[in-house]
Amino acid sequence: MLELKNLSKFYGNVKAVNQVNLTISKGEFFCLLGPSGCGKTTILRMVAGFEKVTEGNIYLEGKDITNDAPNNRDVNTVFQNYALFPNLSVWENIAYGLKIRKITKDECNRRVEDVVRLTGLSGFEKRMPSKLSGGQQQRVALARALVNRPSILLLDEPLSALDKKIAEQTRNELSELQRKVGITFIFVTHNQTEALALADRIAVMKDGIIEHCDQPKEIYEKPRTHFVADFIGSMNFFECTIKASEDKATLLEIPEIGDVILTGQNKQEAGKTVQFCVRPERMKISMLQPAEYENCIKGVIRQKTYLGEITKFVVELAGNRQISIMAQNYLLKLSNEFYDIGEEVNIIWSKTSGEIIHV
Amino acid sequence: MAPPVFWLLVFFIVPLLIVVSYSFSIAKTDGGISLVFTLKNYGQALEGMYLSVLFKSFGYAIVTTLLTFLLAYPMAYYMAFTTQRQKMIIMFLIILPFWTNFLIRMFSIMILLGENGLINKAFMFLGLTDSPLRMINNTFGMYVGFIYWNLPFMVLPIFSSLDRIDVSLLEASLDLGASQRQTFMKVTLPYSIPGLVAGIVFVFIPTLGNFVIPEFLGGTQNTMIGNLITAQYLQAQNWPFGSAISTVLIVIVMIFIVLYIRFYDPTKSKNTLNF
Repeated sequence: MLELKNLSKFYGNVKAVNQVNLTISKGEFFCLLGPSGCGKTTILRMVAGFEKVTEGNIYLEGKDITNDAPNNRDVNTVFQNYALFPNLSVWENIAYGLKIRKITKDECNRRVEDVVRLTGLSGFEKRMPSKLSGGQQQRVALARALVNRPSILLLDEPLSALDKKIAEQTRNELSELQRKVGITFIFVTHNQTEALALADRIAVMKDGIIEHCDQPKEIYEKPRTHFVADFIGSMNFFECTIKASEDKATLLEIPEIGDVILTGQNKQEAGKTVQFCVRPERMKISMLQPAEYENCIKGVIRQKTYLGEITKFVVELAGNRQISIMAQNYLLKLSNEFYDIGEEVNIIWSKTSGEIIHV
Repeated sequence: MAPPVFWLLVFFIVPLLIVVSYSFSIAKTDGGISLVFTLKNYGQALEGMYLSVLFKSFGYAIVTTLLTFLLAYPMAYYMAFTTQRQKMIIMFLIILPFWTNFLIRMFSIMILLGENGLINKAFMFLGLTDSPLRMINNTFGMYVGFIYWNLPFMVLPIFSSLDRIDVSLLEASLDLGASQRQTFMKVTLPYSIPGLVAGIVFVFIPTLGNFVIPEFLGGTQNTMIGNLITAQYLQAQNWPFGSAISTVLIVIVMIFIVLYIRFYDPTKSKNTLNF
């Protein structure tokens, strides 16, 4: 178990990491997600021991490791650029940590062999790193860290240097690998798709602070802050006031547009100004009237973009506000021919969709 | 003929051939040269007295290279891992002496280390010594001169090797459990070897043939092979014999360079250490 208590890192006046509290349990696949400069890599580097902690503490299995040297921490890192030793072969790179620890030759060979098989590097043992592809180098970096059997494996944007297809494949392998070895993984990324696909829990960071930490589905469906809602996927926001609310149903008034209903929420405080947000894929364009369980507002189509698997519409609402809507191309003809730019349409979504964000 | 080949021919090969051809000739009594083929000069050059000077010169060059390395490595190391601004300042300071003529710099060292020099005066003022220390016209003075002259040629190539090391390699080594010392031995030092080897070549070879520093700072008992050659050319006016000693020196240096290229092909090392 890893515990961060009031962890901070200041560079002069810049608070790179500001009073972060976090508990990551054993065997968890944890993801630190955020835009560049949000402090996610700084946290990782503090856990690894490369960055001095300004304030706060790091506990690993209950032991304070805040000021331990990197070589005395039961933690290993997969570096963003892999940092393979260019003068050592794949085998020697992987065995580096074991040789330092003076583990017997037999044991060393056995463990390297195991991890080579696990990461699918069989046959590449004698190669030099410069003769490997990006994906293979990434595996060597992974193997070199895993062979030491650390309590925690830190991964610093390990997929960002790979092209899309390889990154996707490696992502799946990584997830499988983590389940097999059962080691805690802490994964830093700015790529929300990676985070959603891999993590047991995600911490979304901004300006050195954790904005929201939860399971991927919760983060996506029930974002706690405007930033999280906006950063993960795309989101339509409406400024509105709560007109009336009871348990499981809330009536919201969106100025110039009309009233909408949101069900399934706890009772809200009436009269409060809030943000109501709905994902573009939860809305549809229609010429039909809404069903009883649906909300409906009017809009004019201003843009239409064909994106292969989906078609994206930009619709203008009253008061010059624009929202986007994603339509699955289930019936291509429907989005292609029925709904055209300049047309007035109904925008419909289920009363169960959407989220209230308090400002 | 490509221009570079032409330059090589004019500036290196032709002069070399002249020296080699002189070494097989005979000096006339008026200082002229008669071009006949003889091995007499080589016979003389390989006599005990000249050989012992040659060996001594090697000793001085080896010790100088070693001392220069010991001083240069920490400097280069500090320089490589400090801030960009400090790097610039140190680089400037290292290059600064080149703006002054070599001979003038050697005179300055003489003045600095002399019996009435700043250092001796300071020592006496502080009561560290009663009478001035003898720091020039001996082996110590010669080494000071050599190290002072050579330091930039050792620091700069080592710095350039160290500067290219990807810091994440050092972090990776620490991360994998190696201590600072182990990381230095296993990562930093091996990756600085190309610069180190270049530095050794830049220091060792010019030191071996240098004649000014032993003359200025070494006193009468410290004669190097360069001094012998100079004496043959200038005082004895025996160019053929001077050429023969030069040729022996050149051949030995060539052997070293061939070994260097054999074991440390500079073009190959660029590939293997390209990170």
